[in-house]
Amino acid sequence: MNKLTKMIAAALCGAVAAVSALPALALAEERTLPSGVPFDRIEKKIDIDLDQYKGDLSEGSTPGVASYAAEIFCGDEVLYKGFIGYIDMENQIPADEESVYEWGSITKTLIWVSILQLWEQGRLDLGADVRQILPEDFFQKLKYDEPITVLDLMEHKGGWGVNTYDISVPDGAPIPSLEEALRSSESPQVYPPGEVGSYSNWGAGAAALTVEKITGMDFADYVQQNIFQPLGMEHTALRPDLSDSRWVKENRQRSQSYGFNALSGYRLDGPKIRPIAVYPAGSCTGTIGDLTTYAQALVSDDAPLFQSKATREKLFSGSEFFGESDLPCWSCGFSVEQMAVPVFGHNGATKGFTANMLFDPVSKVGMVTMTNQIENNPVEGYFPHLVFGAPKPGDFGKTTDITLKTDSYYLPARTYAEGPYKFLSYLNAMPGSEISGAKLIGDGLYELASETGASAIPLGERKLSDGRTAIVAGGAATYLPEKWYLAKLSLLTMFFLTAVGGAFVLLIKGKLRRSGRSEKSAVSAILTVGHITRLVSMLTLLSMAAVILGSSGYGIPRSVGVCGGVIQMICGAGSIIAAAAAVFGLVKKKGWQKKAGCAVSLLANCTAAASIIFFEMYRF
Amino acid sequence: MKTIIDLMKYNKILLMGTKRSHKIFMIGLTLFLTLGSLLLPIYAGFAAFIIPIMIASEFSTVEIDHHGELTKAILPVKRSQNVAARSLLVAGVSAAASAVLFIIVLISMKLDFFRSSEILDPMFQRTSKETVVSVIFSGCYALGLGFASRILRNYYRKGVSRKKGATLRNGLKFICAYFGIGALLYLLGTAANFPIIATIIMMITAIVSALAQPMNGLLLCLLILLIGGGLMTYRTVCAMIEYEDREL
Repeated sequence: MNKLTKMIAAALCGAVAAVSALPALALAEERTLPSGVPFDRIEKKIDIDLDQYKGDLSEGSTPGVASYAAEIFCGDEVLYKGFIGYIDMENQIPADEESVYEWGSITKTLIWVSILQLWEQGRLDLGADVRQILPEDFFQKLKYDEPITVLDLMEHKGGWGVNTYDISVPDGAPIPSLEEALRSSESPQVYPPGEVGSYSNWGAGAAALTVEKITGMDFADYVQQNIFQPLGMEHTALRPDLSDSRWVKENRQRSQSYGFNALSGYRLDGPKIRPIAVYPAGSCTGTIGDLTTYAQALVSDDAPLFQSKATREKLFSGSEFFGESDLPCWSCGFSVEQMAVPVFGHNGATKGFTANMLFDPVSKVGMVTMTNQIENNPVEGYFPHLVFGAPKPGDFGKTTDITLKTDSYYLPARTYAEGPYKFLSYLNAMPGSEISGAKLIGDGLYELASETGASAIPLGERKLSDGRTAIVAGGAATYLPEKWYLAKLSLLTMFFLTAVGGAFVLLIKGKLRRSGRSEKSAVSAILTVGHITRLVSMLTLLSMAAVILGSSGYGIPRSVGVCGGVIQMICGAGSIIAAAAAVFGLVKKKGWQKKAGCAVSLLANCTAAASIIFFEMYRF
Repeated sequence: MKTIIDLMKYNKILLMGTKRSHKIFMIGLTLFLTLGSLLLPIYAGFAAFIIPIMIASEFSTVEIDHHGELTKAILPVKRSQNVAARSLLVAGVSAAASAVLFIIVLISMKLDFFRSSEILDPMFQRTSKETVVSVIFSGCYALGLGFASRILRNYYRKGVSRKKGATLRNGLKFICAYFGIGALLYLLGTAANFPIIATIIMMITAIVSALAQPMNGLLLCLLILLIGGGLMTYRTVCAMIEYEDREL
């Protein structure tokens, strides 16, 4: 009996234990990504969704991706690892675990981690003025007296515009030191420090130099010792020539980068390796496995990159917010993407590669993707949405009926705000009407829902010291209201129109001269010079613009800038002289047709001279 | 100025004397392209391109039939006024027709009538539909003006071609040129596999894209139209000089 009782009791206990374990088992089965996709369905879903990109890419009929490597993880567990396509299509070398890709701007996060390491060691104060740390004569183009703090550099708020001068190393040229590279490519400071988020490669390089000055070590050596080695990242190199890892350098030689367009399909994209002199801004190269290891270390509760867990918490506490709210858009150098959950990380692009690293420090779910294709890459947007989902209206808080008061036009802060490329910023204006439907949540935080209402993005409002109200659309993505935008754009339009018109006037004058009908006078000759200078000025501007737009943000060689500036100065002087001749002709010439011709010439030459001065085409 | 307006009226009357078969072809093609414009912007672009060419080339055909060239010789006007009047009429009529077509395109865009197109869809991903359509449309119109002005200049420089089927041959030439440009673009795309050409194409594309950004492509459209108008003006001036110097 006793034995039977014991057996029944044991059976009952077993049954109770089994029943009580069922919900736990069920919960284990229901582990999902922040987007809601269950862990066990990730691979199948990706297979189905990306099946169309697995075709014969070399034929160019598929708008896919040359190759990609992707990993999805949760803490230390890798949930998905996938490779598609070829890192060298011509030689049919498929992408695999040994393929190396360039990190692009994800490299910058190594600077921010280094700075936080020094901060937790008490060797560097985030509020310290970097002008006191870097050599006295280092900054040559500062416009403001306000201190530039280390945190300003981390938030891209040093006030620098986009760098005009080349940060890459020309083929065959010796690689300069980081300090030399920064000195030769200094960007102009165009905003007061600490006010406007304007993403800057040069500013990031200056932050890396700060690390060098504090530690007395080369930045690449510091990263090798304090980040790569502790994490066991043996397949990643940081130096511009990849000389810190022979393995990476050899494997990098196997990779090609590709562009894609709908007409020709895939094409090789120039030389294999383009060293970046300001290398901490985007030179890191390595395998997907190593980048995953790095991302996992950042989300790990053990915080292997830091001495204290508090430092990791500091990293994800947010340092830049939408308006006055507590919704972060930037956090100690890491971007914060507002998806279905706030996601931290960074993306990157070089001239031939793109990469993305995103993670949710709360659920510890993250993803990294790397590709060797720079255009029309569908994978770029696919993985973040697969893993983290899209934010929906209401995710950032309850909206009110108050809508965002906008100015007419906004210019992106990350632009060529000074110098010969100033005109480009006027071509990228954002009409205020595009965001005027954003609804106030509170504390300067707004929500802008998509037309379909399926997704939404947050926007922030910030008062600047000059009285303007800027719009913050994300980390280091600030838009500044531009007064008299349409008038300035009209000036630019007139500059182009009068230059093109001048070209036809020159053709007509040539025809008249050949038929013996042309007017021979000093005024006419000077006006002809005016037509030529306007045309030359426009062609110079467009040629220089083509060079910088084709440089993927790396900048132009200094010689190109000097040539362009000198040509514009000569053209400006030519236009002013031609304008004076037109005034003379207006007074002296008889007949309304000739007077009208002089009046048009006067207007055209004044427009050209005003444009050259206002858009600073002469500056180099 | 009054003389030029009178000459434009004369040219209009001359144009009304077009053969019935030509009239049916021109009206039919215009109607077909107008209806096509509702579904695909390429049709509107083709119409904006072909209309100035059709009008300009029709003048030479009509003048063969009605001995118009002789009529002009006895009119008490300067030869340059003759050229100016015809050029203005071609530019004016085609501008009015293109404006109507563009309005149709805008309406069909508003109503989402457009069918997807393999060529245009990738462009829409990068920039707004309005910008792409406006730029293509103004480019086609400017190209049409350029060809029309060339026809007029050749006409005034060399006189009327009396060969049979000249109009048809000219028409075929222009259609070939139109598709030739398409083929050239395709070849350029293929040539993009060569790094140097790819870099040049990338730079040109980048600057054109930058110029297309403000105000839904207004700046680029103005520039394109100015190039078309400038070409027309230049060739008209050339035609004036060459017609005045020509022995009739």
